[in-house]
Amino acid sequence: MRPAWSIVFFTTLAGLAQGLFLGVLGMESFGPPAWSPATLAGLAWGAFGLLAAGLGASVFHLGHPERAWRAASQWRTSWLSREVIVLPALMAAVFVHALALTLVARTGAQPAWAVLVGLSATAGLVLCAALWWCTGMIYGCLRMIQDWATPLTPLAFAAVGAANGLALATAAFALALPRARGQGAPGDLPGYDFAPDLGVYDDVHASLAGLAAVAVAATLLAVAVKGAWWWRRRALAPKSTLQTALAIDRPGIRQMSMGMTGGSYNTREFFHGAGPTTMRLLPLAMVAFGAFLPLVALLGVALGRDYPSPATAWALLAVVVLQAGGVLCERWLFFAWARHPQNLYYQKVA
Amino acid sequence: MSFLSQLFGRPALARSVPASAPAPARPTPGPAPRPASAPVDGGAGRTKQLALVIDLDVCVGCHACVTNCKQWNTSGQAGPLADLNPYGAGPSGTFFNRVQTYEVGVFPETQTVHFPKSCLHCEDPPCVPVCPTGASYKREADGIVLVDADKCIGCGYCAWACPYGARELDPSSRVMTKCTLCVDRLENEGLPPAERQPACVLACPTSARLFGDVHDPESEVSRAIAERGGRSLMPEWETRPANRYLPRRALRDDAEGRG
Repeated sequence: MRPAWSIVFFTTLAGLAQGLFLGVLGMESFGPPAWSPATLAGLAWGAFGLLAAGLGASVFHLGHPERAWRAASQWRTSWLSREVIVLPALMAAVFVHALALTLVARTGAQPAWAVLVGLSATAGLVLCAALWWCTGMIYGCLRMIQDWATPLTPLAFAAVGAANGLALATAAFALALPRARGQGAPGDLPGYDFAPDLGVYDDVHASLAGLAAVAVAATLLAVAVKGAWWWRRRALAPKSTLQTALAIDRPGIRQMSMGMTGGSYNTREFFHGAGPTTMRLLPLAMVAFGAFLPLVALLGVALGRDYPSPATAWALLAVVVLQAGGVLCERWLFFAWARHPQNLYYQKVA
Repeated sequence: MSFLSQLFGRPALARSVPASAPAPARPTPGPAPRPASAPVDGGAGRTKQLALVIDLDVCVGCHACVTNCKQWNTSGQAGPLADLNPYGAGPSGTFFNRVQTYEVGVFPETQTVHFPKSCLHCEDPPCVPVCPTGASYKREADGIVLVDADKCIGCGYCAWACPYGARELDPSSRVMTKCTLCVDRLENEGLPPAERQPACVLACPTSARLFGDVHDPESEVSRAIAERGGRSLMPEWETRPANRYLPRRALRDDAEGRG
């Protein structure tokens, strides 16, 4: 299949946003109070912004975006239609959540805001999972594209997105260090020149290390699921052959002409057209930037004795950007590796 | 009844707007009433299933069907169809029908098979349920699979779902297009009754293309399928294509070893 850049970017950005949102929810639920509502709100707004950017990218996939509202109508049969409903619903939940956290930051904790935070968090959690499932099933439900037709496809979308987004959350929380001043000496937090309240920073450090450990686990899960997906694909025997495609039960069929000279939708949409070098290098980039580099960096945060310095936090963010590049490679290959049975009819230009 | 609703026979289009008026941009409250696009019918409930039956013994690969199809459909209800760089080195465009050529066997015992390929109007079309807008549908009345060009958002998902590559996203109109079995000829009272058939069928100089109702056991197409062992393409996907191919006699299993 020809990788659709709009979808490659949309799914990567949405995965980042979903993982980041999960990281924010986790820190809200299990982190110390030193992470201020303003910080949590800022990161939730970041997740909303990434979802909006993803939605913007997805629009470029449509020939007629002005009719996109129609795409919500066939939810009973179409996974794409379901995704079209779930994405704005998740955006609404994340928006309400970010707004509620902002209100807490501005006006203090009030019962109404607490209810809003709780409800939007619950809805957001469910909708995050639903969006990953819908996105994955858009591909997973196409039985003709055997490379995609497995529950591993939606699982891979979830695991890879969660890994990337939780790494982003780790980097973002590391950058948003709370400034709790206390009895410590300046320099007790390496790279920071204020006198910290060390009791607070023990908890902050522990929560950040915990988040990094969860991100490591998600990355390992993503590697496992994607590895299983790739292994399954390698062993797949195509159900369709030139014999079933033409209903001619003879070996040795050769195409002499595909009925046109200048190509068609069939020759453009279903072939990736990349050379062997690209197809060799992209999997390496996917593994190196998408899994290996973030694993090393996140393990450093999870096991490190010190709170990450500003320089380390920025380096971690750079690693997450490279990881997103690795995820872009993964998405591109997800399309390029898909073999469509219609390609049996398009083997010879003449 | 509007012209469009006569053409496409769907309840959703039976509203009394002229065919030329743009679709009113009002959001439908919830899902539209289930149109004739229900994918699960099994053919049992549908009394009629129009289809083409193609005789691979007779097709000579002249491309007259391709040309006549393009001529009719580019100037008719579905048109205009893209025709990019028509006189240049790489002419490309939208066609509903293509004729491909294959060689079977080992020289000198080879057969050259010309293979016309268009939408097979599956009884269980995988392209229909995946459509997010309901633009892709199968007519209840006669089983023709169609695209409502006014509802199509051009996402291309249906083309991914079709194992046969029967659908082409038109690069000019940015909507999905496909063989309509010349639905705008079949009930067209402006044409003499003898011409109310798909353009490809009328153009074929060797009568390699038969057209009719494959659910009527007495029809010409049903008899041809029964007598000649009409075959479905890619039966492994259980799409149950309505179009059938009459195999080359020389390539039938029972002709094995005798050339």
